[in-house]
Amino acid sequence: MAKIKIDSEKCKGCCLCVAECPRGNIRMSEIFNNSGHSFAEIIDIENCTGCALCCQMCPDMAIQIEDEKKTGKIAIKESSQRKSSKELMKKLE
Amino acid sequence: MCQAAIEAGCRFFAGYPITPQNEVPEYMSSHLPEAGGIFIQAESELAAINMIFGASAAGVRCMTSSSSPGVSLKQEGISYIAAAELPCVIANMQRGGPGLGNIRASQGDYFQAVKGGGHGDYRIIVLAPSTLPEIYELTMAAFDYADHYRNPVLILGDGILGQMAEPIELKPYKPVVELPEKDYILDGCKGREPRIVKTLLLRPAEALVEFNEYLKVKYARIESELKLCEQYLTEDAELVVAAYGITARIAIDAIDAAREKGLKVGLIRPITLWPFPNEAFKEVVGRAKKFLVVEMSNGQFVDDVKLAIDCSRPVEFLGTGGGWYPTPEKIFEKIEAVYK
Amino acid sequence: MKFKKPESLYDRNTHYCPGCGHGIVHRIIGEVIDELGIREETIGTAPVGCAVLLYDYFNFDVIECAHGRPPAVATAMKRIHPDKIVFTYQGDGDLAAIGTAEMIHAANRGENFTTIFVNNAIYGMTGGQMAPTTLVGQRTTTTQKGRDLIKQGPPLKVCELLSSLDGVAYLERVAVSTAKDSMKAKKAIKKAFQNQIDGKGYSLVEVLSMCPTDWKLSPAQAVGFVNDEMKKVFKPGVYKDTDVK
Repeated sequence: MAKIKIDSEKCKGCCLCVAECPRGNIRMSEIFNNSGHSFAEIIDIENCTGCALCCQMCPDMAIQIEDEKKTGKIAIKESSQRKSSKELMKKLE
Repeated sequence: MCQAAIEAGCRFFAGYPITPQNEVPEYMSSHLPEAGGIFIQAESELAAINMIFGASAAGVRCMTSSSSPGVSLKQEGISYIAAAELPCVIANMQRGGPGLGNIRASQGDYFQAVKGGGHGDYRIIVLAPSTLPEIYELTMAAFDYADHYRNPVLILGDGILGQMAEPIELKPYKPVVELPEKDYILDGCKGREPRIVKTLLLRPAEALVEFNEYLKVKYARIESELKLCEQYLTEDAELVVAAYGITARIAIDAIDAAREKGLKVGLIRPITLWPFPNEAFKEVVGRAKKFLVVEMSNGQFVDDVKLAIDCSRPVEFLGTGGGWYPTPEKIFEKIEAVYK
Repeated sequence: MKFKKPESLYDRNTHYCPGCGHGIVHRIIGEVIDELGIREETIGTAPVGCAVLLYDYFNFDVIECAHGRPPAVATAMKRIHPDKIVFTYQGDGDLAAIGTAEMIHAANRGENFTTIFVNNAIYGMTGGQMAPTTLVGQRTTTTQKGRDLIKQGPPLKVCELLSSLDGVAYLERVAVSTAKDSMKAKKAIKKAFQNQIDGKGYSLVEVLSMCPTDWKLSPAQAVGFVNDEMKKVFKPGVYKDTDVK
C-alpha cells in the first residue's frame, strides 16, 4: 500500500494535515526544521492508508506519495535481493 | 497615421473614444481587421493601454491613441510598459486642459509627454510631427524606434493635426533602424525555458537600483543616437523662432512675412521632443541673438529651449493655454515687437 | 494512489504564510495543466497582491500585470495567440475592486480565457485591509470594529454578479478549506481550462481561501472561518454553465 512521505523542510507547520487525517495519524514535531517551524510527522507509517487527504490540504506540497506500483516493485525487488543475499551468506557460512 | 501604422505592420489596436481623435479608432476598426489585425474598443483607457501591454508581450506591433484626458489615464500602463521594456506606439492628439478642458487643439501635455506622466524613473521617445505627410512617416518610424530600443514611443500631435485633411504620398514601409530579434515574446514555452515579463524587482535589495542604472545607460544611448530637428532659414537668422508640431508650421508663414520685410528670422523645430535636440540649438545659438518660443500652452516647451541654450540668449515667449492656437499674424506681430 | 509535484510547478518553497490557501490553488492549477498536457502552451498572468510572485513557482510563461489589469492583458494575449491557453490568477482586491471594470468587460465580451479568482475576504499583501469581499462584521485594519453594512456596504458577490452576463460560459464557486473542497475545486478548475480549450468562452472559478495571518487566526481556525462563515455568504456551487441546457 502506498504511503505518504513528508518533506520536513517544506513544511511550515500549519497543521492542516493533522486535522485532515481520518486516522489521526499525523502529529507536529517537537523539534524545528531549518525555517524554524515545528513540522508534520507521521505517527505510525503502517497505519497510513495513502488516502492523500493530507496531501490535498497541504499548501506547501510537503506531503507526497510515490507511485504505488513503482515503489511496490522496488520494495519487492529490494526485499528479494536482501533475502537472496542473506541466503548467500548462509550458504557461505 | 492609421495607414502608416498598418503599412508598418501594426496588427493590434486598442482604444477608447475621445474627441479629437475618434477618426483613429474608427478607421482602425474597419481597416485593421482587413489587414489581418485585431481591433478592440476597450472599456476604458486603462484597459486599452493594458491590452497594449499584453499585445506587445505577445509579440505583435501594437498601438493605441487618445487625447489629453485619456492619455493621463494611460500613464499607469505607460510606466509599466517602459519598465517591462516593451515596444509600443501611443498617439496623443492634445486638446485643451486641465481637467476636461475643451476639445480645441493644445500643446498643454508637453511636460506629461516629455518629463514623464507616470511614476518612476523612465523615459519615452516623443515624436512631434507638424504635417500629415510627416505623421505618416513618423508613425512608421515610431514602430521601428519602439522595437529598436524596446521602449514606448509617443506621437505628440494636437487637435488640429487630428482633424485636418491634407494630401499625402503613400510610401511603402522600410525600417529606418535595425530591428532586433524579439526574444521576450510570451507564446508558450514549447522548446524553450519559460519566460517572465515583470516589473517588480524586490530581491535582491539592489535589484531595482541596478535596473534603473541599466535604464539610465539605455536612455543615454537613445539620447546620443536619436535626435531629429528641422531648421528653416537659420543660417543668417538673428531671431530664431522655436516651435514644434502644428505651431511650427503656423510660424513658418509669419517667418516668411518677416523675411519679406527684411527681418532675419528663422525657425528651429525639434521633431524628437525627447531626446531633445540640444546640439542643434547649441549650433544655432552661435549665430542668433535672440529666441522666440511659440507654443500652445502657458510655457512648458520654453523651459527646454532655455536649458538647451544654457540661457545664453534672451528667450521671448508667445503662448496661451486652454486650447488656443496662434495665427501667423499674431506671431508676426510678436516677431516685429521682439526683433531689435 | 500517487501524489507528486506536478511538472507545471517548480520544486520550491513558497513565500506564502503557513496555512495560506494560495499554495493549494497553485498545486491544483499545476496538476490541471499537467493533466491537460498544456504546460508548453500556457501563458499565465500574475496579479498584484500576495500571488504577484507566482512566476517563481509556475513552470511556464507568465506576465505580471498592473493591479486589476490582468483581464485586459489576457484579452490581448488570447486574441493574438488564440491557440494558446491564457489564464488570469487574481485576488479579491485585484479582480473585485480596482479591476472590476476590466473583469466585467472581459467576461461580457466572452473572451476565451480562464480566470482563477482567489477570494480570501481581505487584502493580504498590504497587511489586512478591508476587501470588497470582506464579510459584514469582519474585522480588518480599516474596519477595526468590523465591516459595517451601512458604512461599507455588503460584500461583493462576483459569481452572482457575473451570472447575468451573456458572454460568460462557466462560473463556479469552490473552496480549498477541506480536502473534499480541494478535490471539487480541482474539478471546477479543470473544467474552466477545458472550456477554453474547447473555445467556449469566459470561465471563472472563484476559490474561497484562507488568510490566517491577516485574519489573525490559526490555520485551523482559518479553515473554520471559511467553512462556517464565508460559505454562508459566498455559497459554493455552479452559478452558470452553458453546457447545462
